[in-house]
Amino acid sequence: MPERNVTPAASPPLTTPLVWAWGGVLLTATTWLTGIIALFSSIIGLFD
Amino acid sequence: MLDRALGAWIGVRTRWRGLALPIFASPLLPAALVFAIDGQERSVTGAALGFGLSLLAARALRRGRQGDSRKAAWLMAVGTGLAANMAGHLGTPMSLLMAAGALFGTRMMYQALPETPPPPPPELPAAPPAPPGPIEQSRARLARIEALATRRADPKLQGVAEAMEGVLDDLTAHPDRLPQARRFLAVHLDGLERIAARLEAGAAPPPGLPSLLDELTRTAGELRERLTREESAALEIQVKVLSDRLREEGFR
Repeated sequence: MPERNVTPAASPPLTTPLVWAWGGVLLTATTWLTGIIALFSSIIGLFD
Repeated sequence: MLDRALGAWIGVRTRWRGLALPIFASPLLPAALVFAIDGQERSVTGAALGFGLSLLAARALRRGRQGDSRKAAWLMAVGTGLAANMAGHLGTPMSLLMAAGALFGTRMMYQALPETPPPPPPELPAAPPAPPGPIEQSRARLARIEALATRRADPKLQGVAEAMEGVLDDLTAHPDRLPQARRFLAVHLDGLERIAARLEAGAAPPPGLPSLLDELTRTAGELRERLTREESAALEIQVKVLSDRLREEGFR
């Protein structure tokens, strides 16, 4: 497998993991929550 | 120490990047299934689009080129917005809010991960060099004859070669005259080349050779004169035509 020519990022700040975590929280509160809402909506619709 | 730990973490995240996105969208899969059982086509489409676009976003992120994280974020935003509207029945404002959250969430989650520049466009193969034109070919043949004339220190052969070189110089300066000189080049240059080849092979020059070479030198000069004369005649006609035209138009 050919090796990727990855350009290293120029020393990211130490707060970067916090930004990642907030990103994860946002995705949980949007995409994941949308999925859960849709799932419950489908189940409710099935028994309605 | 912390920098090194962060660097290692970035390395791990780079290896696994993008794979979390379909996990975030994974509840849409059973939702699509249940919607399908219930026969709600619009909701199935919304859920399927939401999950499908998250797969596309993961694919874009896995590629890891510059701009791919932005592309992935937009794919996630569109997928989440459509799923919220069509499968979650959340209404347009709430769906837009979900889309914006997914956009910024994806951007934030994959920030500071290294990206490779796009590959350079494939280079086109170099065009093969154009074949030499008739003048260049003639010049190369004449150069061989000149080299032989110099080796043999034959002034007559050198004279013919020089005269023919003059013709070639004229033709280089005015390539449009080439059709008129093509026969000359074919007959004279061919003949001279054969004579040179025989002389080089050790043949004794016959008594008629010097006069033939003089003749060749003379005809080369005559050709140059004829070509110049024809050009002058063409110019004269042009001048006459233009003068007549000016007179007809009343400018003179």
